[in-house]
Amino acid sequence: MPDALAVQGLSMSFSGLKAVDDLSFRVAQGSVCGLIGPNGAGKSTILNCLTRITTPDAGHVEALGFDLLAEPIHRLPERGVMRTFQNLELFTDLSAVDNVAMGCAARLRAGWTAELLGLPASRRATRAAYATADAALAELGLSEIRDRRVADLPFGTQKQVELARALVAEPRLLMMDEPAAGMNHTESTELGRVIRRLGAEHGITILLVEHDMGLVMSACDRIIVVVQGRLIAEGTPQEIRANHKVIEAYLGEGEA
Amino acid sequence: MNWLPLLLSGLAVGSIYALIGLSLVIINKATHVVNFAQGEIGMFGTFIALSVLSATGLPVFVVLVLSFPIGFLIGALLEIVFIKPVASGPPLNVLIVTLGLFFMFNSLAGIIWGFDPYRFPALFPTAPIAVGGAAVSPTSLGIIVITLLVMAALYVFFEHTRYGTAMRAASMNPFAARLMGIRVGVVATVSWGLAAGLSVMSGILIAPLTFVDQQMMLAIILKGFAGAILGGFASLPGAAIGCLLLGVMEAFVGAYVDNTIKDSFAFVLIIVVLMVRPQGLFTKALKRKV
Ligand SMILES: Nc1ncnc2c1ncn2[C@@H]1O[C@H](COP(=O)(O)OP(=O)(O)OP(=O)(O)O)[C@@H](O)[C@H]1O
Ligand SMILES: [Mg+2]
Repeated sequence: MPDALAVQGLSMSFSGLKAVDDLSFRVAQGSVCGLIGPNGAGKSTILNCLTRITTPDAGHVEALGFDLLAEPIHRLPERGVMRTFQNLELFTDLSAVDNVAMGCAARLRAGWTAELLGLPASRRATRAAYATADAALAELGLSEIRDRRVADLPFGTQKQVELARALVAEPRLLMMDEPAAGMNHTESTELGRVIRRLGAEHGITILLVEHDMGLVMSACDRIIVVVQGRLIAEGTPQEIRANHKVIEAYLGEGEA
Repeated sequence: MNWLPLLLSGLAVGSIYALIGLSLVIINKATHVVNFAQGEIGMFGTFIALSVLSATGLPVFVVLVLSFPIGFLIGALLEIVFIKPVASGPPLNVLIVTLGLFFMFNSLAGIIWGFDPYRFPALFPTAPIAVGGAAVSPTSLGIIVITLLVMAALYVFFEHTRYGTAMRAASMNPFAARLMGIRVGVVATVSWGLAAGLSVMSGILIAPLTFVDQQMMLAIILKGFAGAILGGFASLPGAAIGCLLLGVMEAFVGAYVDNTIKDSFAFVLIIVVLMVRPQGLFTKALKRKV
């Protein structure tokens, strides 16, 4: 299977601190890849580099067949790349459905002149965007919070709204930064099912950063482990579970 | 019933403030500065409208309708030429540029049209009409109605169209908006266009009552700014209501207390209000910007 994501020699440092250190890995098309590591390992920084939020000091990234680091951030959705955030980047004062509908901004675009003048093309695009948003909210079981201001929702629910917003963009490569944070066990189990389905049914390639090991082990095809910005292990969940370097890294951090 | 004409003339003046106040808030949401040149853009656009009027002989109402697209173009162009190049720097740099635009338009108007005041033809009949036993000025009514229509259109645009919602989204979280593919740069240009369109409309609405000259918007931008802060600079409806309230207060203080203190009275009241409610009268609570 071809790779949806090929990262080569990625490095990023913050005033001397090497947050990402000569990192290389590949993610196969349609697979779910876990990215784990202790706190401060550089996982979020990696996602930021891969979504053009920070520009790495060095490295080459090919995503879905194009040179990702050559694209400006606003072109990523039409290129098929989307993400969610560890600490939420929602439009806080907008309702849930408005937030999700914004995820279609790139895909269902009528051109801003058509939008400003309220031409029929823009009204059709708007209707389609809201229909898509409603369907995504329904799929994640969020229909009843449709019109609530997102800032008033619990953290876990906001995370799901953010996931819905990413999904309506119809990404082919989706990166999630700790989607299960703030969720209880039932919710994270359900999230695991959603993630598996996205990979299996829709062919979406997923890069999943997550501390909930139950979720990572059950949802991922492969897992890569990063410590201090460096790749220390890579393999199937079984292999990772048995890898003593990984166990050491986590025990050293005082977590299991 | 002598309070009715007073109320209406207060609301009419407040409407003029509101159009300017709204344009200040719209630009602030997009560019995070107060655009000092907002009044001068209105003044300059009014001069252009007057020139169009005398060159073409179009009906004055057509020119009023045209004032919005004329203003839109001026504002959008200004944003592209003068604001974008400094937008990535600190907000103070942008603020200085808007001050520069203030003086630029002020002198430019003097160079092009001279320094003598011009008369602007009346938009509405001048003879008062009787409403419930009181004599009411059609001009006041006309200004109020037009402003309310503009506000309703703005409300529908920002709350019920996707582009308006995207503009609000871009103002709340430009970073996430970019990641959704929203062109935050275009949003800023459109915001400047909208704001300038509103300012030129306010200039044309007030022009028949005052005169058209370089100084025509000086007091109005200060009052529009003050009224917007009184109502709450973070919210468009709040700012609009604050401006209307300021106009009415001025009218009543001018009539019942003393005409010479009405300007200072308004500002004293605003300062007192802001001591009690720093977020303005009609905004829920002070929120940190994202
Ligand atoms: N903008 C920044 N400026 C300076 N240092 C940063 C910045 N962002 C991250 N870092 C540092 O880079 C390292 C990696 O941080 P990062 O957030 O990527 O870790 P993480 O693996 O996502 O951790 P967590 O599991 O806690 O989310 C940390 O030491 C962090 O302090
Ligand atoms: Mg992180």
